[in-house]
Amino acid sequence: MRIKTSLPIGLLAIAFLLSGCGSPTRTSKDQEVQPRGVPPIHMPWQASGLTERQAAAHLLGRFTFGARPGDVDRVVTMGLNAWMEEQLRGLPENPLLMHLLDSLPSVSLSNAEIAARYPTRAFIKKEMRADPRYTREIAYADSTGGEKREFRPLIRQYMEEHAYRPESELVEDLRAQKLFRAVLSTNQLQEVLTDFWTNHFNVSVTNARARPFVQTFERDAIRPNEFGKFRTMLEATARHPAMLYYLNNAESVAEEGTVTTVSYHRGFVPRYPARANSERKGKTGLNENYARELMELHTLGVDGGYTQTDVTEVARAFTGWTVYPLGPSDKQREQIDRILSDPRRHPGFVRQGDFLFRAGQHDARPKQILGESFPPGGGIEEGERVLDMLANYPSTATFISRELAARFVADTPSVNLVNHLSAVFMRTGGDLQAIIIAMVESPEFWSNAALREKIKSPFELVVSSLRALNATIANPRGMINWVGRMGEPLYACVPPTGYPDRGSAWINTGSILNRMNFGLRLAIGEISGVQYDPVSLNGGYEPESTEAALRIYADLLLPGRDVTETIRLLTPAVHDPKYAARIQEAANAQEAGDEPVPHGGRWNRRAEPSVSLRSIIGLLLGSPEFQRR
Amino acid sequence: MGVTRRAFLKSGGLALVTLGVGGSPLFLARAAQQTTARVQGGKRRVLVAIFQRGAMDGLMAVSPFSDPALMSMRPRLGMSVGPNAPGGGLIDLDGRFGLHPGFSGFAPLFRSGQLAIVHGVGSPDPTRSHFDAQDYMETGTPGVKGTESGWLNRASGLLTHERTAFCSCAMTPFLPRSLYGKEPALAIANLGDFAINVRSTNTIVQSAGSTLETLYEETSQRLLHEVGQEGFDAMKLVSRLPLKDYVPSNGAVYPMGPLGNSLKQIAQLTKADVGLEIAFAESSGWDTHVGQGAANGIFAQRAKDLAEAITAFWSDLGPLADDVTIMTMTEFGRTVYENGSGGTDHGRASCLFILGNDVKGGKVYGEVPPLVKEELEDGRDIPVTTDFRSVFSAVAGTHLGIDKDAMIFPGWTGARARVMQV
Repeated sequence: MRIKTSLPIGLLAIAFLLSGCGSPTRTSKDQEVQPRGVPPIHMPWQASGLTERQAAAHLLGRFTFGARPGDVDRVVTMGLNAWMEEQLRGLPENPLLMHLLDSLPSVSLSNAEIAARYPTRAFIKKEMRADPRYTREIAYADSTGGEKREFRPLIRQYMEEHAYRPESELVEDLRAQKLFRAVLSTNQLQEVLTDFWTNHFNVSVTNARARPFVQTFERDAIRPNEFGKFRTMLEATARHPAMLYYLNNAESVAEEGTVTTVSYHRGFVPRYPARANSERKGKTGLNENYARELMELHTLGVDGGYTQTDVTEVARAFTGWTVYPLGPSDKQREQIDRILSDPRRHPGFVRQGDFLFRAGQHDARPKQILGESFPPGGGIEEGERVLDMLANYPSTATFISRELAARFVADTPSVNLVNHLSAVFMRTGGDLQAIIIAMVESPEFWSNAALREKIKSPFELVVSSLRALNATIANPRGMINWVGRMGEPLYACVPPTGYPDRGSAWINTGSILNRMNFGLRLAIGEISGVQYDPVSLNGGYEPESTEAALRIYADLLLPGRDVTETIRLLTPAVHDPKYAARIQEAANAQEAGDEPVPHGGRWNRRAEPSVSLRSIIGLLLGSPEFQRR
Repeated sequence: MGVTRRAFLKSGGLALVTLGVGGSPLFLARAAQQTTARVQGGKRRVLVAIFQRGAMDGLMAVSPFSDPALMSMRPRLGMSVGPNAPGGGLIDLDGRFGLHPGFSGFAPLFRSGQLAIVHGVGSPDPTRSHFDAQDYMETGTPGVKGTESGWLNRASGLLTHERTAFCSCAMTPFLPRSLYGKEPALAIANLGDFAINVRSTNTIVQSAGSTLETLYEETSQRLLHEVGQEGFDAMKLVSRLPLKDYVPSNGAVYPMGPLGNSLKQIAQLTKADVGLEIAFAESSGWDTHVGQGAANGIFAQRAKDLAEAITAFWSDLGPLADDVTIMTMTEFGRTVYENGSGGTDHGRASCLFILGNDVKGGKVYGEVPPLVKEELEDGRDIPVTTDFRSVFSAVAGTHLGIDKDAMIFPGWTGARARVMQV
């Protein structure tokens, strides 16, 4: 039997270039967006009867994380089509954002560096046991059962000596970078799409093995592919350690006694006593989790036309798709490197960055998937073929189109729109940029049914508040906690479905209360790590009355919207006849060199107008109008 | 129902709370009692539904240890009876089924006849998708997509007592599908956070609650409008509850974690007599594809959490336990054989627990066939021989005193399972 390689070199090279897994350390500068080619865009907003300001506000409400003061006017000035083209093309990044990202130690590390610097607790303890300096302490701790308390300072000391950092820092960095990017990036469309796609291909930090690699998953598998072809993103997620661990495919192997790619090409089916084959150590068979979710959640959708048998067959097609050894231990790596260096003796193995295809674990029996035959003796190309089929299936086009429309148009998008986007998907081979363009050029996007129809997710609410207030973030932790409290703990959605994209999922009695509390407390300055200057939002002028303040700030925070009702309903509550007198008092006090006008959480009695101003802002942030985008 | 819920609150006894008249919980309790005295059916009873998300392995929870095939199907996960048995620890329930030791708190309740187990229960629809199966179970319409409301919401619509803001409560951050629908329902992850909570003494902030209430009353966005109003009503009621420094009765100790917390709050609401009738809580982490463990491990930890939370709740209720019945549920079971990662994959039938003084306990109802390939569904799963609707309608119907099963479960014409004392 001839030994054949199971993957053409060209495909391998392209795959390597596209996925970027396992690249060396990069600074955030390397992640600057390269301008993309974009055709001229023609958005039919005028036909919907919208004013240019209303149309601009709608565009910003959907394709950014919220308008900042002056954004609506800027978009009107440059022209809506031009703005959209610019966002699609990609802009040079905000230097402040780059600076903040550089300050987060883990965001530009490779998977291998992360595994080396942020080892798991279990690994650290194992290493400590082997270290003669700690043997006595460990034995004592073990025998007395006082493991937890006695151990902690020892572990901390050991970690310091080896420059190991706790895994919790990885998760903090991950969440911080998401918040910083969403608030500060000039490429708002890309940030919104990242939020969408990371949710679509959900992986969670609650899964211990996937946790260290969630950050690189978003950075390397999702972000580079958002304006390209769906098939490319699908591939990148299928091969990334985070997904391989999260949906257990990394442990899915051919059942015992089954012919594998290796044994097929050697011409026999060996028996597998557990110890004789070191590759099989610890693994005993098929795991269907990834195969099911690949079809149900990533591509076809639950009604997409697959059966339980297909799930099992697809699982078999992906056996052997696993992770190249990443941990600090070298023994496993040496072993696999030896195998990889001898393709004649070990045919069919493939390594691409942190992805590893173990031909000795791949089920090489013939298969029937979605009505197509897969001959015996297959290798890595079987999984590739499945991804091809799924990416080109009409159900996938419909499913992806519906999800995109649900995010950017309306909770229940019209059948017409979904069909139209589906057709674009099929015609362009899954060109994600083309689908976005088709969406904004559709009349449905600008229809009355779409305007202000979407309810902001907790993350969108927090970020849009920060952007509306031009707030500075000294410490992102407080904001991140609020997002979690409102029901969307970041990167921690346990089930692979991701967070649902419907108002009814976010709005319930508890979450509404949290949203109001959030708005009020942010505005008053009771959230640590964030501050803003209410007066500077209005160009440095303190409004002459609370009624004037209401009018001015309603328009600042809800630009391009009709705020007459909101103002009417809030007027009785904010009416304060002594306001003007207190402004004068505060101004006098300042001239006399008394305490400065406060900001942040502290305020002094003389400068009450500022507090009233903040309270008005709080009411606006907690208002129903501000919950909509 | 002629009178709308809000009209009732504005005109009835409870409206006095919103005017700030008599802020003590005792007043509240008296007001509630007055309204119930006017109504047929007497005292309110509480149904607590606990959804185990992720598909609990019914075969490990309540194991047919006497079946010789069990160990061959589950060499690592199979367990036998008695604390010293190899891989053992099952608590013998009836000579055929053994209870996983993590659920040991249930054993005395089983023996006293307060706890019933139904095995082989599940959905007639064969989907093994978490998302779909949970949807079908929560909407009560297996196989039918697009049912807008949940079964508990429809059930709450049939209750005859005067409605308060707390009639249906889910102690979860998201409103569960079971409670979607036109009847009002609250989702409150934490009663303690249920107020406008800003430290400033500024007058505008102090009255922010009522100001915002006006805004939500008038907003044209339907969802924000409806949910906003419910929220404000509930807030006012919660503000009168003595939540801080709550000490559970009878030395009950709730386990740390979301379920313990949820059940503790349900106990508080029950004792405060605020009109609670349907309560919902969740237990997660049952999707044991990898490293399920047998006597110890992931499954055992989840089992312990569930049983300890429920038994603490039962203790805490004291005499009020007469009015409360608890039922667990899970979207489907798991494969009979173990998979390649020391776990199990999605299956079909599982088991559920019902705890109450009106339950015909002390028995394992339902069927589990011999664990051989020919007897299993698709050659791999325990077949569903009891439709979950027959159990839900029996428990909810009997306990809450409602009998329009066809309205709670449209399209269902089956009989109620005989698990309750009638």
